[in-house]
Amino acid sequence: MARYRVFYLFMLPGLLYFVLFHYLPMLGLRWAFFDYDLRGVGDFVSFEHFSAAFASDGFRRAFRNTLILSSLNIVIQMTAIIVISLLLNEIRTVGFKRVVQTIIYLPHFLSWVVVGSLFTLLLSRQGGLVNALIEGAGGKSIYFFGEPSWWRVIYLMILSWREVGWGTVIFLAALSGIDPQLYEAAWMDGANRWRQMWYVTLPHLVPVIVIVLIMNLAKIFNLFESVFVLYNPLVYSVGDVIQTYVYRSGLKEFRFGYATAVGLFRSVIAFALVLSANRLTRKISGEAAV
Amino acid sequence: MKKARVLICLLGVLIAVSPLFAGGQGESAAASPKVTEINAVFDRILLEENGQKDWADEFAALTGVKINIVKPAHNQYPEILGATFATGDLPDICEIQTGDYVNYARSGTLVALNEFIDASQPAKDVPAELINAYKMKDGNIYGFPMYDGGGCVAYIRADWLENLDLGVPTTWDEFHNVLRQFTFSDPDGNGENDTIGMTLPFDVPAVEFDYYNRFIMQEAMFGFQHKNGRWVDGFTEPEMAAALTRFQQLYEEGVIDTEFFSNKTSTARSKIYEGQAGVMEYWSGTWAVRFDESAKNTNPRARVIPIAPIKNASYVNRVGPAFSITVAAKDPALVFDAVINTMLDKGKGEVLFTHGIEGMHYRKDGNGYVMMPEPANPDRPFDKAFSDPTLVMNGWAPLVAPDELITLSRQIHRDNSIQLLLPQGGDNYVKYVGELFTMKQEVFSKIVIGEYSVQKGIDLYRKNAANLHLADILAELNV
Amino acid sequence: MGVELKLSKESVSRKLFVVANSTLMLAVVTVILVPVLKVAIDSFDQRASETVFRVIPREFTLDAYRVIASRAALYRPFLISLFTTVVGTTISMTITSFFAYGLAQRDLPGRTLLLYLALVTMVFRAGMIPLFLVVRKLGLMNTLWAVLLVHSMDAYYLLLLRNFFTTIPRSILDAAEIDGCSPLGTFVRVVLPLSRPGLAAIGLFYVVFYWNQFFDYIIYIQTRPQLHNFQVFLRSLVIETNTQGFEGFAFATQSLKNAAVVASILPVLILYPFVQKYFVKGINLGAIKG
Repeated sequence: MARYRVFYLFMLPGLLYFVLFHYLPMLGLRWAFFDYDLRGVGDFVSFEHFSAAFASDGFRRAFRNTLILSSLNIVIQMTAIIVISLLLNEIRTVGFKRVVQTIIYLPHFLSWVVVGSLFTLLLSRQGGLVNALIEGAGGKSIYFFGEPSWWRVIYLMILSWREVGWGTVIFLAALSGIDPQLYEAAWMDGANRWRQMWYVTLPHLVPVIVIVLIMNLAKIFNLFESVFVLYNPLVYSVGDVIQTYVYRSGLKEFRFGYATAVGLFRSVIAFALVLSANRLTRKISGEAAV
Repeated sequence: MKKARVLICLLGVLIAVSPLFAGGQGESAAASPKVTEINAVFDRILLEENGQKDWADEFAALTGVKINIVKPAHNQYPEILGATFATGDLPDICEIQTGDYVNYARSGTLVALNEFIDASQPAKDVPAELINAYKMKDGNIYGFPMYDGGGCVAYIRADWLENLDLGVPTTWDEFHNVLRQFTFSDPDGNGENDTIGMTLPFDVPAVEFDYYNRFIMQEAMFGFQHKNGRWVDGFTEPEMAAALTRFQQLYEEGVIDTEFFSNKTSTARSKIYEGQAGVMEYWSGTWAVRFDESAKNTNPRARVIPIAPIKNASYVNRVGPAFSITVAAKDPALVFDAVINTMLDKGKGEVLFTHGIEGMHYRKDGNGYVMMPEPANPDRPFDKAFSDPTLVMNGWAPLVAPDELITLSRQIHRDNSIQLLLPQGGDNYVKYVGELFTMKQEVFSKIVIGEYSVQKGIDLYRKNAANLHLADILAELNV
Repeated sequence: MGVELKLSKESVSRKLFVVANSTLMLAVVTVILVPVLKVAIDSFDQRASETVFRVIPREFTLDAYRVIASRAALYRPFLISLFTTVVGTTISMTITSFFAYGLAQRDLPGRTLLLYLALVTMVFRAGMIPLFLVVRKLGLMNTLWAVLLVHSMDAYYLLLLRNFFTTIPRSILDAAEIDGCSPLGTFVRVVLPLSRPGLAAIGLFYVVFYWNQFFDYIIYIQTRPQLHNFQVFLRSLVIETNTQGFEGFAFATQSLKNAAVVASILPVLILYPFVQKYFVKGINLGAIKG
């Protein structure tokens, strides 16, 4: 037991952190069941907020949009990240590799406010670069931000533009941990590049891929700022997500109880998703990701 | 066993720490001696760099009351003030934005100011309608206007009018023609087809949209309208059909900014500055000068002027932000006197609230006064400490005469505006108004781009609004 | 002869691959770069607002950068950002790596519980107001501690780091123990050096997090805006709300806004090359062989 005491000591600061800044505030989740506004905490209303949310078309639509946008995003981003990581890993010229990496990381550091205004300008029909190119090629300019079908495409592309480069960091770190001798051994056995990738690289990446996927599942309902800076009433039907809905209908009217209820609902679903994904991985690979 | 032990330890930690979490809702007011210090949460007060501390010192010198000012980040002011109230941390006095006033007034956290207003000599010079805009249905007034809310006027490129030999439009047909010419007749003479007639913002709080759309809406209103003593939903009124048709027409012809749906006010403004659009409705007052100067930055021959509304249209005077005193104030009468009566004293107090501090923000110049450069940004003259000198309510003449354009825009606005009122909603309002307006914005935009016909759009709106308890909301408003 | 032919075939397909890969990378880089370049170039352009996209500024000026370097209102937030990023990252890395190491001990009692404790915080969020209350009660309002501590550990990074730690072979740890190393010693002298890629990645993540922090400043530091960091300043520069067209930074020209954005990316641009070497393949795993 003494042997373990040291490790508990190691974990004490972190534990304190979780308790103070995560679990203690969680006691506030009980307000999802109360009337809570500017007047303060009022009567117990049990599931009233939840039924109000489910009854609301706006909420249901926001929920649907969140799921659609998030899942599409996960698929697109993960694919792009893996492909680019693998390709980057193949670059032998250190200088070129370093330059490419530094450049693709950059968009992640631009805040959404900046990215939003950048792309609004770039995709505008009035002096935007993309439409200028389209018209130059003889086409008709497109109102990207005003047409729901285009908006989804553009939104997902912008999300990837910002995050894919950065997403390669963790994969490159994992790739760099692969023993080069494994590749040599495979080469000796007559494996060409593709088979090496299949038999050496990918298996080492699978644990990381799974963890990243699960983490993204946990964050599936978190979309807010990206949508907030890029949406407008014309595209609410595809763009309004839970967080923006709550922001407009909840926080602006100081309906804290309602906002907490929606937040709680979000968390419960996300938690269930993560648990099932974890269980699924355990079944498939025999070892849980978490 | 080990697991259980760990769990118990954790529970112990949680329990031990939980008293920290007992949220208090305000503090009990003990019987207190004379109050000499008050806490304030303000939005429009001076920035730190511009001398906020000196302002507070001067305030203390004038009133004998020390004021502790908290100025949250402007972009998040409503959220932070709301969080502050929700956690029970009420200041003595605070600024409340127009759109939030009713919520705060109904929350029981504010003190009724009626007796202080009646007892106040300086308040008698403030037009009653400005004060009564904050009167709730129970007769209590929970907020005092900080300044005349003001409103927007239409700004237009006078040089474009001249280049095209057009007069200032006074009717819809004339205005429509002006917009067409601005779009298609190359008003800036640069040989490029790069101008449009009018721009406006749409990415604003839905209740504020009406500030910026008077020429096209005319007698119609996007939000709730107080008509003939009753509240109605402007969107379902007869005038709206005509207004929507006008919007549709302008959009189809391309003489209005076809991307206005995603315009914030800053986006729309920059289109005027850069000479992409020729007309925009925006706040009267100091903006008259800013528009003109910024447009001149891009094109030295640009001239932006404010104009009177066309026939059938009128500007609106909004209900402005308010000073409110909370139940946490130990001596509300004193707070009222120290802040509000000082602000209206037509003397040193009023100067402090508008122009600021002599030697820092303004100085003597011969027989009069001039504004000095803004400390945080010396390229521009300082314009106001707390409230805009061009928006004073009690007829006081500012020390520094404002620019002609400013006075002109204020004059035009004053002569041509109707006072807006605050809809005082009930529980249904609070529950559904957010979604109602969201839906309204969606339907509106689809009508304008022509996806729905006007009639179809309005019918669809009615149907959806019924599901969102519009009838109940109106009933509550009209109680 | 046969061998030579085989080798040259290999190098032809390899060469093709390299060319294709490089082209693809260049395409990716261009897509990423165009909007970022627009920001960079416009920061030097006095008349940035007029142009769709120019490679050379219409009216070159260093004014924007001069303004940033000379006005306290502008460089002070930058310094605050530097300070909080360094201190915050240090705090976070310490807490996180110790906690992760504890979690990595396979036979530690209560390990799974503690793991789930961390997991839950990834999905369940109490909301702004409960957290605000706790911070207030702890007396952290209006101090930099609020910003440094409230989000000091991210469960996602914790799990990633734990995973990196678990890949270290038992044999090495046992060897250290046999050599008389205390758990702390093993951790610091053996585990940490072997985990450099993982630590570098997580460290970089935290740096980015602290650098981009913005909302925490606004809500926890209200009475002392001189403690706000660069992101806060940057946002007030780029966006504004509509209350009677409030104008906090009306003097901002397009070029100044863009220069501020560039300044906000600089630290990463500078930091990255130093961190990158930890991601290089073939880290010396000599200890394993021995």
